[in-house]
Amino acid sequence: MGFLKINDVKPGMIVERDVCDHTGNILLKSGNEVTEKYLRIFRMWGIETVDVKGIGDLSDVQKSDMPVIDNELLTEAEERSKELFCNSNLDHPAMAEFYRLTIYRLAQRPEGGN
Amino acid sequence: MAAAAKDLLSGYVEVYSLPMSFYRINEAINDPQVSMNEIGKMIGDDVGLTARLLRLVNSAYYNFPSRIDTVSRAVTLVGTQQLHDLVLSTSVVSIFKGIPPDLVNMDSFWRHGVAVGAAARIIAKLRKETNVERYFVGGLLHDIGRLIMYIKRVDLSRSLLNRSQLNHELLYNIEKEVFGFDHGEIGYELVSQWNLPDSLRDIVLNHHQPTISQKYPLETSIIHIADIIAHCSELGSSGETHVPPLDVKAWDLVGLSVPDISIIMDQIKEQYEIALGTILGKNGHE
Repeated sequence: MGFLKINDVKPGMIVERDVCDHTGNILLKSGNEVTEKYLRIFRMWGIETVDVKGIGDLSDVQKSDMPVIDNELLTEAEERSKELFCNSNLDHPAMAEFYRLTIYRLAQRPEGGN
Repeated sequence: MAAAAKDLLSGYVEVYSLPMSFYRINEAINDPQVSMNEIGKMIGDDVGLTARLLRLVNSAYYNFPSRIDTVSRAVTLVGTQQLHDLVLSTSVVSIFKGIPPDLVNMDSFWRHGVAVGAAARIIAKLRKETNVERYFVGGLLHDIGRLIMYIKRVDLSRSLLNRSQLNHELLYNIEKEVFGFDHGEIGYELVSQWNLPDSLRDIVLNHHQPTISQKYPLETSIIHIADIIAHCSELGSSGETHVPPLDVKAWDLVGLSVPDISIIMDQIKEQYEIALGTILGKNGHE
């Protein structure tokens, strides 16, 4: 789970869990995309942090529709990917997705390379 | 500095010029008066070209129901743009044959080019672009400037590569510091000398800063994204060991969505393998 400060949240990111106002009303359900409109709504309601998908989160790599991967392989894959992506802008949702898919690919082929 | 880049090329242009056969065949392809039959004959005269054309037309890329055995038939099936690109790729690859492997891993270099080309073509198809083939050539040639740097300045290149790996710096960022220009600038000089189209020159020059391109920001942005895809997939290498950062404006311009990424990544390996066969020869080796 990646908790981002509201100013770091960008349109296109997907929320990990429901975003609620202080009364408990759901503003945006988990799994949905943050748009400009929702960012404005969050700010209006004084939301300070948002739990978004894909920011350095291993559990995020393992989506439900994919076959289960060994945890150790996943960790090694993440190490390798961190190195590969050390100069990339992972805060961008597209880059985060490239990162996620790279970890997944590497975890399936621990010998690495193609 | 364009002047410094020109300096590096001067005196070596003759060695790295495209063969006359390329210009002759290209002219014939563009001439509406020249028949496909005549073009077929010109290609048939070149053993390397013939082999690649037949491999291409019989590959899974076209998926024709029966085997095509003659050049004359093959040229009618692939279309002029494809033909032009095939002749260009074959010519460029042939120029850089015989480079000592301890200097540059040419196989790895072309594999990266093919990967970027294949990825760019997938993106172009997703966007329903017309004439997707030109994207493949753009991908193949985008890092050509690096070859000249490696060949002409062996020691400088070695220190550049070492530093990049040691300090985890992007090769592209330190090139200017070490050489005085980047691989985009020198690549641009080369493809300009070759009289290749403006769109290709732009792609070579600006693929790391795609939206700077005045006339071809879309094409350049597609190659930019394709480059990232190729790096993520670790298919070959032109020397850069890290995934380059994504230009946000380029992403917005191309208009892909995040879910598109897994669609592209699913296709890249297969498309790469198919393309490799036609560029590098049998079993993917020159």
